[in-house]
Amino acid sequence: MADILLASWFWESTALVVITAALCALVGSFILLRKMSLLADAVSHSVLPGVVGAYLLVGYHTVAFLLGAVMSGLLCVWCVGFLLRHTRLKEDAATGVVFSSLFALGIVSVSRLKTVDLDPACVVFGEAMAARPGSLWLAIGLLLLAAILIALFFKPLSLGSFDPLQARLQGLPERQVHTGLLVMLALTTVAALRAVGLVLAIAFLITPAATAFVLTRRLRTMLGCALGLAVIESVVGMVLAVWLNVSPSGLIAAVALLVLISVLTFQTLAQRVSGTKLKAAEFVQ
Amino acid sequence: MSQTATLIGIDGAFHEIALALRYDFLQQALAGTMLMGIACGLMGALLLLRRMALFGDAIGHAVLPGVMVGYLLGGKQFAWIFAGALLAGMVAASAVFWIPQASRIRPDAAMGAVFTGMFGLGIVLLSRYQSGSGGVSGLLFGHALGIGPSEVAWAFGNLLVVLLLLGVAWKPLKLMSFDPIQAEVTGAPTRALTHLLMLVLTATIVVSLPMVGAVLVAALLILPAAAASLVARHFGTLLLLAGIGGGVASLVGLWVSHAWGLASGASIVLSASALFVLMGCVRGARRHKASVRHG
Repeated sequence: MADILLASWFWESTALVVITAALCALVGSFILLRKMSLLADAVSHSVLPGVVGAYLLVGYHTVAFLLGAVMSGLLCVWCVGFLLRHTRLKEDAATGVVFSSLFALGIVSVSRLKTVDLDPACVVFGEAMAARPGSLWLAIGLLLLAAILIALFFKPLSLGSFDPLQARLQGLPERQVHTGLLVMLALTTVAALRAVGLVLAIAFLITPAATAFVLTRRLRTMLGCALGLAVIESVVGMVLAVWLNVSPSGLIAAVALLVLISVLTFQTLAQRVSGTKLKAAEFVQ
Repeated sequence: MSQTATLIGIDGAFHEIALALRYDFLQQALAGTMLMGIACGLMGALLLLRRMALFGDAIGHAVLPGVMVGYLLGGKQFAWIFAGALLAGMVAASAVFWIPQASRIRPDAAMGAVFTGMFGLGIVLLSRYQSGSGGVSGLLFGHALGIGPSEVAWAFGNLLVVLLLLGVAWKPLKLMSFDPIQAEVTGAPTRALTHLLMLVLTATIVVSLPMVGAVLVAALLILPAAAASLVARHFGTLLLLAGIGGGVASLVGLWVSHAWGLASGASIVLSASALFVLMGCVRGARRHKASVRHG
């Protein structure tokens, strides 16, 4: 145990997981506030055929992966919109139809390829321990990009999250921000796919942001809280996973859910003891 | 001339199918997946009408830790696996219902948090107690060609349960799907029926796991039902078409997977996707005809 904690490979993979977690938590906070959690689930599943297609065309190349991912992620969103316009399917059913089809297409191609770089089980729960050095730089670059974009477009991002109508009235580019967020989501998924796998990517996109949403009342504090939670959860999960010799991605996802459930239970109990409903507390910009 | 050629072609295909059917494993796989597909289609239609289409996705992932605990406690006995999965499915369903009540987190986010966390726990158990990746991808992505007589028997029993549920509770189920408030007013046991539906859904998912896997089972619940909803106009027609569609998609998918050596679970899902696209075309053609007729 102690010698593993001192090994450099452990800290390299922990750094990768932590940075991916931070990236997902930042993007995920806006996804949650804009009520796009379902779409996030769908888009992150749908990037798979794009990544595999890129692999078939040009081989193991990060830029191609990113382009392919963005294309198939946007294709998914477009298809869902098409189904909503032209059929009576409800949003959840339309989303389910599109992403499960695209994901199955990805899985069929991956299992057909039988290469060492992509493997169906790996896609689902990642290989944080065997990460390539390029993965870390990709995650760092995307984290910086996300931070810069959030700082630059903080106003349209936040106002649109709380009051889309007001944002449009003020002439803020709502549609572009929405699309930009979707593109960022697809890029984030590529980074996460390589580092931690699909399941943990979705867990990181949703769970820390949801926990922070319950704990805080302002957007800035929520972003900070989500970041902090994601980092702490991933470090704790990594150390525990090494100690117990189990899959780090799975354990971190489970830890994140445990934290959320504990926070909610604690809040509910506290409310019951004090006899008051704290629900009136509004979430503000 | 061309007719003869077609006949020979069809005859050749039949001959090939007849040859393949001599293998026991293929017969079992075909029977099992067809029974499973019909059950999934029927359950999916009930979910779709109640706007719970993605609930199958959440439960499908969330049963994994239960499956693993049952597997470890009961040593490969399906009854134990089944019990564990039912328990996990119920825990997940309760959590998904509870989180939006206890906080301002929306149901879709609650579902995402619960299914990833529980699936993660399942992966943890898998990685701890099962060495080698063969078993792992079997449970995650399914291996329909590897099933035995007991899986077929379970799939058959499950289909009977689904049909029994439909037969006994047809009227309240129909009423609940279209008008939940009316159903409540007329005194239908809506709560009990919702719980029963969740129970049968979990059972259907567990039975499907060996064939399509935890990751893809939700697709088989959504796709045939969504395809049927494109053309069906009545409750009965929707269920009938969804059931048939699920069965046919499973058979075709399994055949494609066997013939081309593709992953079986994903092939079954892709044939269900093809069915959806086909039904979309039927609907489009029908609409086009109607618009032409009306000038």
